[in-house]
Amino acid sequence: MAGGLPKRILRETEKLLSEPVPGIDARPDENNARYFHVIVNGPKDTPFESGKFKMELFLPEDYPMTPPKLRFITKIYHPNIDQLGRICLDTLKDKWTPALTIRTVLLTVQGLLSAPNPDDPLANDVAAAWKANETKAIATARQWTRIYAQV
Amino acid sequence: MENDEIVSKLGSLLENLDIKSSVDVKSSVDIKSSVDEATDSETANSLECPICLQYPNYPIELDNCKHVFCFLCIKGVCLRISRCPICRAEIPRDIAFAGITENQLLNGTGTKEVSKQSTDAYWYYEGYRGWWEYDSVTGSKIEQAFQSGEHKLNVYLFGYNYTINLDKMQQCREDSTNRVRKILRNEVQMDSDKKGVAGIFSTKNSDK
Repeated sequence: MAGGLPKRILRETEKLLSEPVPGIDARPDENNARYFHVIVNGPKDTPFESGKFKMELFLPEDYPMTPPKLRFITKIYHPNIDQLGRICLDTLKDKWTPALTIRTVLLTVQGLLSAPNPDDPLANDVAAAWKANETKAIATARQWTRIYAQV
Repeated sequence: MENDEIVSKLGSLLENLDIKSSVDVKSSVDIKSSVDEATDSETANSLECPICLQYPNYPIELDNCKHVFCFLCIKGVCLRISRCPICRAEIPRDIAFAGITENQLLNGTGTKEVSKQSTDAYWYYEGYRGWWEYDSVTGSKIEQAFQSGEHKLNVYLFGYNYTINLDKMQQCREDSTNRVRKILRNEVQMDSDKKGVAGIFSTKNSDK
């Protein structure tokens, strides 16, 4: 890795480990301090409840000037997350500001699981299904959680 | 600024950013608790730059929105997008491209003093029309590497990685530009010859 690890990343990592976000486990890879293994617990009263969703988070070279790269590894049935696990979140794209942190980003992901938004889909059929028949979509999401989101 | 005030400001920030209400404002403020630098003990309860999460070095308050950052941090933002990282208010691009003067730094909050040994020297880079002193933190990092006989080191400045080559006495930005600048070590501090520190014009020489 070119360049030392900026102090900010050390600070954020220390804080994440000493005061974890409730329901989220995020820890750096032992060989790469910019790569985090993340497990997000599905929030209560959602179709993702009792699921454990694996994610990967990477801090690019010019972080925090550019946003972290974040992706679901575990399959999830969600209108704002595509088959490759990519997440439709404006704060991870054009709405990123360096005042946001790994912590705030993960909280936002948790929020997205609690509040799927099929009106702003990531070009996938899940959003269409969600809008056509929400009850059925929620049942499918629950089933996927049972099948795939068990660590 | 009191912590409560920061928390309330952050609260309104998060609203502006459309972050879900589940966001725990207090935990995201990250008020400094650990003290790992010599000068931090004096400033443990004070302000933190939202970009580097440390006590602001060469702090500057934005005219429009009054948010405070390290000069080098906000310069890094400004090189990419000219909006305040907290509230997205527009900020003058001059901060990054024309530099500022000492007088524009925030009063009442000092520059981070890095303890200097009597044998330490001052480090400069060649910039626009003259020599600029490195900021206090970077300067002392380079001096440390120099004294322990290293050939090169990497420093992180306003969001870019730079390689400092102590054999060639050059700095090089590690991105597409690969811009190379000469660097200089001086036993005594340049006074009238230097333009300023890290893009902050020295007011003594503003007539030059």
